[in-house]
Amino acid sequence: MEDNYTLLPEALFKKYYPRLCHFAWQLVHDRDLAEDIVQDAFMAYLKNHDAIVEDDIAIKNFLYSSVRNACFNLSRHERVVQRFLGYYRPEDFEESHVMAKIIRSEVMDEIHRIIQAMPDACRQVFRLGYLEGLSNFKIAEKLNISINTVKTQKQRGIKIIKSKFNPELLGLILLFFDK
Amino acid sequence: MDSKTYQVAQLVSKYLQNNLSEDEMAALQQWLEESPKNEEVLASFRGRQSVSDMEFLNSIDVAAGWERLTMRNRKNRWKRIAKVTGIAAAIAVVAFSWARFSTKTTPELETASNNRYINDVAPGGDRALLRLSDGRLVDLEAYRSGLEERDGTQIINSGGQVTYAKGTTATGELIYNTLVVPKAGTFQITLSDGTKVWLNAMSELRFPVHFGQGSREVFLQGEAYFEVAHDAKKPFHVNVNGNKVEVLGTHFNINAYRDVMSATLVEGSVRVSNPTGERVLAPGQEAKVGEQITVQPANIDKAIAWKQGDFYFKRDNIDEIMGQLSRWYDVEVKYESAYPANKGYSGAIRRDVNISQVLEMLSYVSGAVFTIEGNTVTIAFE
Repeated sequence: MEDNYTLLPEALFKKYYPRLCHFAWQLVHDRDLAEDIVQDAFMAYLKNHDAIVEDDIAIKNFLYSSVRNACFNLSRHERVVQRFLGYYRPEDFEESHVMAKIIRSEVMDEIHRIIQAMPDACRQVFRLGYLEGLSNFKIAEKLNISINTVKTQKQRGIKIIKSKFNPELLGLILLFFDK
Repeated sequence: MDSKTYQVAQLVSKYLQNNLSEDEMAALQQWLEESPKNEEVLASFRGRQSVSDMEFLNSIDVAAGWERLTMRNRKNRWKRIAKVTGIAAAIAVVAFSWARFSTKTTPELETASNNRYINDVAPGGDRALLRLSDGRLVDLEAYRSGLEERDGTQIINSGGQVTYAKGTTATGELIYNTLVVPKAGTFQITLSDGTKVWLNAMSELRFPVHFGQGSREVFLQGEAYFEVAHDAKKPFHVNVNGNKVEVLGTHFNINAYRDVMSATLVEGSVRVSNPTGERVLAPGQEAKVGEQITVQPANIDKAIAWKQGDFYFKRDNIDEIMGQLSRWYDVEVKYESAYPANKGYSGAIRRDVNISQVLEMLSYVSGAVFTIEGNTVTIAFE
């Protein structure tokens, strides 16, 4: 039994783990809980993967369905907490909503991977400017460069993004830089 | 869900990357026309929500997730937190029955595990020392009477909590006191502005007996939970190892036992700053402040469990867990073998039980064997 696991496709896990966590998070609004649920889904996959046809779509369907069902069947306590916090919405589990959430997770994961793959300087601006919420002045201070250099780097970053992304998405990306 | 969902996701993703062929554009157009809801799905990528999505994805540690899954697979010992709590309760019952039916001279405790307890260690309690401005150190547990500072401020000590009388704004130099909570201690203090602070074991709070004209500045080491009295004119600042948490009126927890401080906001709003930057927290968020500040969704139950009288472990590694036990039971911790630093354990148990009960739970979830002898807890992993 144990030997089977050494053959497990680690790559499969690495590919799908973030987006499945994101999908679960959209339904349960709690990061730890989402990760627990996805861990369980992979456990179930490992136990059953002989029975699952090994094509990408079948695996995805299995994983997404397991996560959706687990979110739906949360323990009573967790459900009460969710209701209390105003997070529980039964309509979230209707098919069209689930589909929209899967699309969101798939797309967000891909964009996230693209941003991760950007040149370092560009990502540094992205990280300091948005994720850390620093002003141009603070970024300049931190990186020990002039404010003009920060501005130039930001413009360069935006240029790269403009060449990679549809203007539709620019609003989102600019939010990262617009600080 | 059918394969179409993934095809649409692919189209949307390509569309956002400006990378659609004509055929694909037509396919996307067709999907959009199927339902006005689909338009909304596409439009939703423009909003602010997408930023949270990115932050969420940034926070997922895939390598740690994989590690956890393989560990869990190998040893099928992992239990969900609810089960662990159940086991802990069962153990508590066993321990209770043992206490009733055994005599006090029993040299060694019986256990259901391989653990060995030469003796047991009782939990911590209300314990603190107060350092007055003249340098005197008063044991608040032993000395149960009121105290007076040199400016006449009355200090009321009423078992487990100390209260500073409300007074006028201090003029001139501020008079500072320090509340020192030792290992195996916890204490609550009410400052002169009405702010309440709960201190966990091995923590210190330095504060003026009356606040001055400007901001209210206090200095913290260790861990504390704050309920800050609202006063818009005098912002409340908690200074922790050169970092600052600035508040108006709010409930939050600060844990600064380690190099990385975490501030968890329960209610209100706080701004966390370190020498390199600052972030504003919303309720339910937590900031980790080291060299950088990162903000993530918090597990509130976990952050304030100590204040509610619970231990609450959620994927904490054994070193973190033993750190908490060492502070609360005042024990030394020794590792007989290397411990799996990247493994996390979950469980919850009351803080008012003896240490053996906590160790039983830990041994159940981790497979480690514990020995208590005197004030030393020894841990061995197989």
